[in-house]
Amino acid sequence: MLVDHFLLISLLVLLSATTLSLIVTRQLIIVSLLMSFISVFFTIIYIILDAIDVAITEAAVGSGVSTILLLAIIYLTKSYKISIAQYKILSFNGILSIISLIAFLLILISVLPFTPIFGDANNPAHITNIYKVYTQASYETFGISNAVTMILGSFRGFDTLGETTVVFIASLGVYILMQTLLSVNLSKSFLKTIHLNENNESRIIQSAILLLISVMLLFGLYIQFHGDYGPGGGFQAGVVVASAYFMLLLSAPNSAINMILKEDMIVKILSLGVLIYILTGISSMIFGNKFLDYAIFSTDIKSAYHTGLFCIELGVGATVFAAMTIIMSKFYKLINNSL
Amino acid sequence: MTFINIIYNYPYAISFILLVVGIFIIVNSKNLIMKIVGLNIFQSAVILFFIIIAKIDNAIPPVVTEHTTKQLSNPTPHVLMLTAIVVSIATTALAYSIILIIYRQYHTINEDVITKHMNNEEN
Repeated sequence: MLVDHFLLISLLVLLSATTLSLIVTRQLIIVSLLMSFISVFFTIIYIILDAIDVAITEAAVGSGVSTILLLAIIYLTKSYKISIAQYKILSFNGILSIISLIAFLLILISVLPFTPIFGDANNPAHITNIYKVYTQASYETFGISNAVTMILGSFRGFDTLGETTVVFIASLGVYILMQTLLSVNLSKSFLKTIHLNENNESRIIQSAILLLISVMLLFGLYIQFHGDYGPGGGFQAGVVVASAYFMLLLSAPNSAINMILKEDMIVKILSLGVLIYILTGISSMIFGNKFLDYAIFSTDIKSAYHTGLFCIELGVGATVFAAMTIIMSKFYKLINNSL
Repeated sequence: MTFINIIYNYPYAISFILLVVGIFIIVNSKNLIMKIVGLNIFQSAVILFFIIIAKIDNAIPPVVTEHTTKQLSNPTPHVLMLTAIVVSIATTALAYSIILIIYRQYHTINEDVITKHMNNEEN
């Protein structure tokens, strides 16, 4: 399709131009702006390349959470500018790195005449045709429309368990490291309101919240439970619901939900997600099947796999939601303390 | 194996350019935050490379219904990259936390100044 190729070429050129301009930028706020541009370009490129699940994840993660964290750390370390001395290109190391990296790039590009053609159906990546087995079995045998969710949850379920554990551990690391930086009592800073002399800011967020929060929560839960039938699943839904919850935290720190869903409860949800995943696997073993074999959940195999995928996506969604919430709220508390 | 393939394989070239730009930012910048930004660009380039491999011409996204007649793109690299994106944001947040602890200790995030302080502390 000529339009597809034209769109792809223009987006890729914009992407490389934005990335190259990142090298010469002297102000870190502009760096965060360019990074969110890059994430938006990536989202559209993934849609053109038929990677719709990856596009949702990149949109939620790259444009949302990543920009927040970058702005938060720019503020907390008070490093708003990059001085010209911080890019020592004219030293010996700088020139050596430029020469070696250009040589590396030329070597990589010289491989291009010998790589398989972009879009070729006889790619070595497709050569065993395992993806045809996956997609056919996913719909005909198990009744799951979204092949990506089926592969993620069942055919490669072990890998997803490992990845969920990695998210859990990284978030736990952020929690522990931030505890050493937050020297005040947790409950006091948690209930601290946005300063009254910045009342206008909180008014703006609050009025936007009323319109957005219900839509975002509904959208997040829709993505969570609709992952079998279209793009979606636990990873994307966790990030979207965490963004919605974090907006609520920002705008109304004294609201009722913060009395119920406290910090220690969110850490428990973090570990609960991984536990749900593992328990779903073990409950198959109790009745004599293999680990993470969902066939025992029902007599009909389609509803059995739907139930199994529902349970593990719930676990993944819970862990990712708690991980993103902990990360964002820790940075928020640190900023609130230093105000 | 002809040289016209360089024109056909243009997305790979962009992925390689992003890779090299990411490495350049990591190696050459003295600000610790820019190093992590370079790491993020590097990770995005690798993810883009995998997604480019998965694309098949005249294929549709890998969602199967009873009306599906066309060929689907390969969904296996999508699965791997989906989790890679979420893991990358979690590890980036961890890297930022470590930067904050370094900042609390040395009150700067310039790599040269920190190295000078560390050398002074040793002597």
